[in-house]
Amino acid sequence: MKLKDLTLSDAHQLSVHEGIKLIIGPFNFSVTTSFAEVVDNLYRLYGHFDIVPSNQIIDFEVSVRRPNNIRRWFKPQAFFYLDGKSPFLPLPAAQAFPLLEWGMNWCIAQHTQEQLTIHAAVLEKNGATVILPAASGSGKSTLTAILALQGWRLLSDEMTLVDLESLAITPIARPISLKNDSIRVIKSLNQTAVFSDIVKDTNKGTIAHLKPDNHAIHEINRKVSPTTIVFPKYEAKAQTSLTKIDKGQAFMRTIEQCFNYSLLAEDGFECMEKLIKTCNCYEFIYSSTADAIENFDMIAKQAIGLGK
Amino acid sequence: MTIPIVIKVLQQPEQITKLSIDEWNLLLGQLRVSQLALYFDAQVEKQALTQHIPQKVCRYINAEKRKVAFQKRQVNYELEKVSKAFQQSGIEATYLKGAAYLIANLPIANYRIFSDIDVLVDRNSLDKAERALKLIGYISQKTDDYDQQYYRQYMHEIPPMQHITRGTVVDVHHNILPICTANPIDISLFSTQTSHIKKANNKAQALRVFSPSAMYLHCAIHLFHEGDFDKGLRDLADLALMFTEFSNKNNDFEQELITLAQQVDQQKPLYFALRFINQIFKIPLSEPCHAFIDEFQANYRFNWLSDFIFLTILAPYHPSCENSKVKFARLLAYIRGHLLRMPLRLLIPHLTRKFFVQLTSSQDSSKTNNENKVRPEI
Repeated sequence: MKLKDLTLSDAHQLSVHEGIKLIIGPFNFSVTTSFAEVVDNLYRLYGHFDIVPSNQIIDFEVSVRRPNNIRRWFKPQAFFYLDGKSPFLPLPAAQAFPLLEWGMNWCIAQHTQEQLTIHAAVLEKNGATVILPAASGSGKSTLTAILALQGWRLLSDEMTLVDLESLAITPIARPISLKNDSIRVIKSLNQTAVFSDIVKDTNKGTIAHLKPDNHAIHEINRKVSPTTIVFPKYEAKAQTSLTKIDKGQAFMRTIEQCFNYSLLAEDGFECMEKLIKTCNCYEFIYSSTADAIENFDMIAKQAIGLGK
Repeated sequence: MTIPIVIKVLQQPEQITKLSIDEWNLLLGQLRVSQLALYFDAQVEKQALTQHIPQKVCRYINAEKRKVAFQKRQVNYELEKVSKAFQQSGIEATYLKGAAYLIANLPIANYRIFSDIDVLVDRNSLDKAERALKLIGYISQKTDDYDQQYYRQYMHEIPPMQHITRGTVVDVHHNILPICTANPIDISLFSTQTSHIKKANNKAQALRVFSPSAMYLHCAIHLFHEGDFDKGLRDLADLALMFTEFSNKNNDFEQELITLAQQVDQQKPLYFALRFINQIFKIPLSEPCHAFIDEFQANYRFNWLSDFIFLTILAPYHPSCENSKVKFARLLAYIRGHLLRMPLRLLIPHLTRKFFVQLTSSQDSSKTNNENKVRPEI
């Protein structure tokens, strides 16, 4: 059963106490909240995700709630809780849904050490699997959204999970977090794209989450092997360029975006080494959507056969 | 009172063969908030029941194992640097708590996550120790003049020192309890021993830690002088496992422990430790310990109160264990902890000052509990 098979009011009911229980790739989440808009957004963006059957363990019981003090009314805040404990500082109440998204990322990153976790998007098309490691502000999510709307399968926007032994990438297919201008750009590319409510004045500016397409969610349990690493960089008015970079540089730049590289010690190093050896590595500077699409189709063609 | 599931399975690991899904959910949450996953794993492994742990719980346990292994490497590295700096300045240092468990190679060092390296030096060497640490890149965390003075005048440690690039924290102590308390401890009665860690070049390095009875008593004193018990159950599990470990290795351990507690006049924390590892974790005690407990209890008027407080709060800080009784007991423990740290004549001005500083300062600088929390990067 999927979340959309429930009615919205059922979802609201569940969110109070029992929790909205979602299977997100290899992780089971249970979400409770006192914010109606969190339920609305969750229902809108996660509608095609399966509900956890009662014979499965929940990995993370999370909650987004108002505090029990004056900050409930005065400059209201939202807190994220895992097992009733708040691991990070609160945000203004208007940012409750992005806070939940961020908290879920945190849960996955903190509690998954069987994989190399990279701050990177990852997409797949016809057997070509492209990892996009990037610092925030590089236009990674925008590029991810563009490609996802062009028939690439979204495996993840925020975090790439690479199996230490086999290098297989575990999809999580969560919503894509878009900021500022890119929200408008993506909306103009596809009128039917489904977005969360727009949240203004966050520390990253204006934020909205894009619903992953049904294909990505349908295939969420199909792992793939990586073929390509691309370091994207959006530069307004820049000449589009796709440049192959040497493996040593790619190695170092990917480490920079790793959450648990040093924690994994030798295992992390060996996994990274295998990953870089396996993949074609590029730097990609772009300023136009059309160029991006064209270049990635070329990357996909070159990668065929690599991931086998 | 119903026993929280995490305590039940630590007492009787064989219970895991018949847990329902809901019970596993509850257990996973309680293990996580109590930081007891690896204690649980070790107990289960001892009974050869590991195959009964579901894959999702295993995944969490394995992640914790990797974190502990990482921490061990980090602490070893840091210990090498810190001990070299002390050595060069001619400072005799004794390592305490988490770092000491690691140096002494106790099993609990494989189960627990800790954040700071605690070290004890002679009070006369404090300045030298501080300077030695500064020279290798550690700087004082609290910069406020009042905090500096408060630590130095009344406490048993100087303000925590943090490495400027690596972020590791070293706490330098010159005693194990605040020096402004009614009867400060004669620290010279705490005997030490040396143990070896492996350096990066694979050579062994001798470092000093407390001997078992002193290490145990220190752990008990530390836990039962706290005001905040969110890690209390984990610390009690340390006391339980250390007790078994030390008494198995040395038949005289229990007698030595009791004698030391009497010498330094710290019978009460030891009484609590022994009573609660026995009551909560069902650790069997030998005759001298029972005799010690009975004798102490006979003269202890507030037994009912301490039982109420500690049997209530030495439990997981998990939503499933929250109620108004727990909240009340925590409040009492918090007040008790503060009263133990400082006499009222010092405590009242101190808390009053803290209160006014909080009122007048900007929001972000006053969040003492939130110091280590990050702002979400949504």
